[in-house]
Amino acid sequence: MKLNNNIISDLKKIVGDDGILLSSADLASYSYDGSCNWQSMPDVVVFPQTTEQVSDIMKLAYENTIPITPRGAGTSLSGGPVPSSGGIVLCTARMNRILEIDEENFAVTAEAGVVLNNMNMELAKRNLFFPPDPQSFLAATIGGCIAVGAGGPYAVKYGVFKHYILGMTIVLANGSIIDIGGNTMKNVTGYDLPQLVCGSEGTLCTVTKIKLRLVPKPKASQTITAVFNDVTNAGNAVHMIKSKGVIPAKIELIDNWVINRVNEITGMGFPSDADAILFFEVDGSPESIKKEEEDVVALCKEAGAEDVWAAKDAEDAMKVWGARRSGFLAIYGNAPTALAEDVTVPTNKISEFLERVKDIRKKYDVEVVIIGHAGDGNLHPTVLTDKKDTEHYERADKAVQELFKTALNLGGAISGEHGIGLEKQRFLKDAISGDEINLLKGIKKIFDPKGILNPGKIWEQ
Amino acid sequence: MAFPVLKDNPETCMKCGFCMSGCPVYNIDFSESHVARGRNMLIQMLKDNKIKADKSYESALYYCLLCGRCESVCMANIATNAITLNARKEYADLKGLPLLKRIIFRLLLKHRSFFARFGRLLSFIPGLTVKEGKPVRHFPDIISAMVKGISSPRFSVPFLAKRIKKIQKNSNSDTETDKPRIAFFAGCLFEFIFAEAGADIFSLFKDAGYRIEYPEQTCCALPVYASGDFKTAKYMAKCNIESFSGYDYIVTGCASCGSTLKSYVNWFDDEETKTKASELAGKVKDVGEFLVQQDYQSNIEGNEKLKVTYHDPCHLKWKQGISSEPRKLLKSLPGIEFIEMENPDACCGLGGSFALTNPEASSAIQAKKIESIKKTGADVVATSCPGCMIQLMDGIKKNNLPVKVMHISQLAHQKEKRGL
Ligand SMILES: Cc1cc2nc3c(=O)[nH]c(=O)nc-3n(C[C@H](O)[C@H](O)[C@H](O)COP(=O)(O)OP(=O)(O)OC[C@H]3O[C@@H](n4cnc5c(N)ncnc54)[C@H](O)[C@@H]3O)c2cc1C
Repeated sequence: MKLNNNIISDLKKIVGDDGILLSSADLASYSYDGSCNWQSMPDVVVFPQTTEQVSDIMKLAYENTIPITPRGAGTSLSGGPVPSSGGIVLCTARMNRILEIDEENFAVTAEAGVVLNNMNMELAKRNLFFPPDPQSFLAATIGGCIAVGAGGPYAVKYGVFKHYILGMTIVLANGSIIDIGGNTMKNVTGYDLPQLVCGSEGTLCTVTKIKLRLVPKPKASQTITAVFNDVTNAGNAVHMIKSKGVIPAKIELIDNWVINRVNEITGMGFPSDADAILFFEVDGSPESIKKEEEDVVALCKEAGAEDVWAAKDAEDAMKVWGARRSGFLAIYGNAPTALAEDVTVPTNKISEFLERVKDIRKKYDVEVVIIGHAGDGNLHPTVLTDKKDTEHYERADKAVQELFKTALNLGGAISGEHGIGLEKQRFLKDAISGDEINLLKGIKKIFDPKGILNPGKIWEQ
Repeated sequence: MAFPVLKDNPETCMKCGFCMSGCPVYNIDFSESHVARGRNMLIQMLKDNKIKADKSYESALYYCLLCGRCESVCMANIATNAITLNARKEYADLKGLPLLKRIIFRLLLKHRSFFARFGRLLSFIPGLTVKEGKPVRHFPDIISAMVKGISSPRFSVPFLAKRIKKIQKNSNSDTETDKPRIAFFAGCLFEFIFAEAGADIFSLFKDAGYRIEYPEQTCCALPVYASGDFKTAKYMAKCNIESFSGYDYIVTGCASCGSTLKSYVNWFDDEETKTKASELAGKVKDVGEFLVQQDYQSNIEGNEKLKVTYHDPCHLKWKQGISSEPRKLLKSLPGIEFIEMENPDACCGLGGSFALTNPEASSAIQAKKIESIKKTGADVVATSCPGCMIQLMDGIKKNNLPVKVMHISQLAHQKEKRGL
């Protein structure tokens, strides 16, 4: 679709001449997100700076039936912010003010475009803690995180974004501005609209302000590393620890392939024949973490760990988590295309899933590596391939499909945190029933009768 | 700190967006084509014929300070700066360089020492130069009028080469042949603009008894390479490589020159030059780094407390991984109280010609820096790059701050230079 000049000049009136991008290079640079497969050019990119401006943009889009795709930092891994129907990209990056940090009530209010890490740095100065930690925190916006229901390693103990929403300001498709939710942790006032918006991937409304719950920063933490010669034992260890009532803040897993790449990058010297390593973080008071450390060590041994040790000091712990982080580099540095999947299985099925991954690897003769959040079953199996090598890519894609099927058969989900977007539409029918999909469509219709908000996402058209 | 080998293929960018976190220019207008990820994608799209090499593409290619901060957070270890430079070269091959750049690169910089001989002629142009003895002052001269208000410093005559000759004449330590041979790489800014500070570095080494020399040299070629004129740049690099072989150390006070000398090795394909360039790279030392490694003891006596803060040049911290040494040096100096500013490693906003072509963005980045400096209440902001010095002086002047900008080595030597 091509927007006429009147629309462009109306948009300029709303956001000013420098709040709008039209050049070919600029449009091209809003045609993608963090995923590998999706690209589509917008007709215009706008940068509102206030909720009112968002509202005026929405009104204009509504009157003229123009598709409008909200976008934060574009780190999505599902094609969500790709403007697949063209039209307007509404980028929140300049709505980046932290509005209030309420130390007494443990809450923060911020605009949607605030980068998670920037918010965290402000909170840390006040000894406050916002636990959900999607690993894209250096770039991802809190609006984008809400829109996909993001979470990270801390999910094991602390939950994900949706567990921290108190209230928000949203702009509906017709431009009306409404506040939903409230200020309190407990709140049952009709349907829980904030929870509906959370995870809606920009298809229901644009979020402009968010009020999030905070917790005090834990006083102490400890890091434990456990080496396993059989990945199944690692899976069992996770399940045993959780079922004994020990709740570490994080439990992360890397497999043999990643271990060896991490060794190359960091020189950590993990045993190169280890089948899997688990990294734990326990946090709380100095006394409680001592006890939890002992429990984790004992239970890992019981589950068959070859070697388990706690970090000597903070520096040692930092090295361990640095090694864990370098796992990303290991993967993306070693493959032209990495299909980082987001399947999630119940924690008692982790071992079984890991076994099946080994089979899939053999069956399709592709490298499937694991660097995942084992604590919540969100394992991120990643298939290494090369988009340009059609034959290999086809095999990789088949492997991906089988990963999804396997997860679903084990009672899991096709997306733990990245959302459906464009990437996983083809699997939606397998994951949820037709009735459920119809309910989603009905809800969308109420919020967005003209179908202008991020059209073409979540379900196949 | 080990630097991993970076890959110069834009396709390996996984689009994680981590580069957004520190990118000085992206954090001004938050426009995707101004950050490494966006540029990588555009360069790849051009290769795939998805977009055209038009003006907007060119502007995206040049909307980068080449500070290298993105490389320091890159999850896929991508040489984003090299990718940008290669793309600029291809663009220049396609469209040709503007006349002004051709004149500056291929005439003036390529044959720098030849033109430097006429330096004295410059002093006949009123207001363009500062004579020996007078401090380098700022003024909104012809150039700054041309570039919308960024004041540019004057040339200082005599140029550095002449001043060094004078120092050499007055000292006699050159005869000590058992000491390591040190070559001083000055760089254009110390040569022509901060000639006095350049001479200070040289005499610091002399006074401390080092065997330092000033071999024939030309511009490090960064501005030339950065504009995509690889051919001229390589010619200049080769001249420097030849000139500086045979020394044990190559010391420079310019972070940009230092990082460029170290990167020559990536500019050449032929084994012979590559080997020589790699040898050269191993010998290049930042002044502060060198002095700390040599356990330099300043002979300044003093108990007055000069409050000093330090600005990390991008080309020192992100490109060379040097940030603790300059602080160590400053803290070791008598009479100095060191105060760390907020975000000391935030860019000053100069980025070579970036400040000329994108003055608004450059000033906005500069403003953040000046704010951090102001908050420290420091008397002096020290740094390790004459490029940063220009930009800091400009910002301090605009804000009327009572802060002096100095090269770190000037604080180590000659107490009278500290006087405010
Ligand atoms: C290296 C890497 C690691 C990652 N790790 C994790 C992880 O550990 N956990 C995890 O959950 N995710 C992870 N992700 C995925 C992604 O970063 C997150 O989903 C993130 O929350 C997206 O934020 P964003 O600001 O980039 O949003 P975008 O990518 O811009 O948008 C995401 C979706 O939200 C919509 N949207 C954005 N802003 C708004 C708004 N204000 N109102 C309404 N809709 C909006 C968009 O239309 C789109 O559908 C990772 C991604 C990368 C690249």
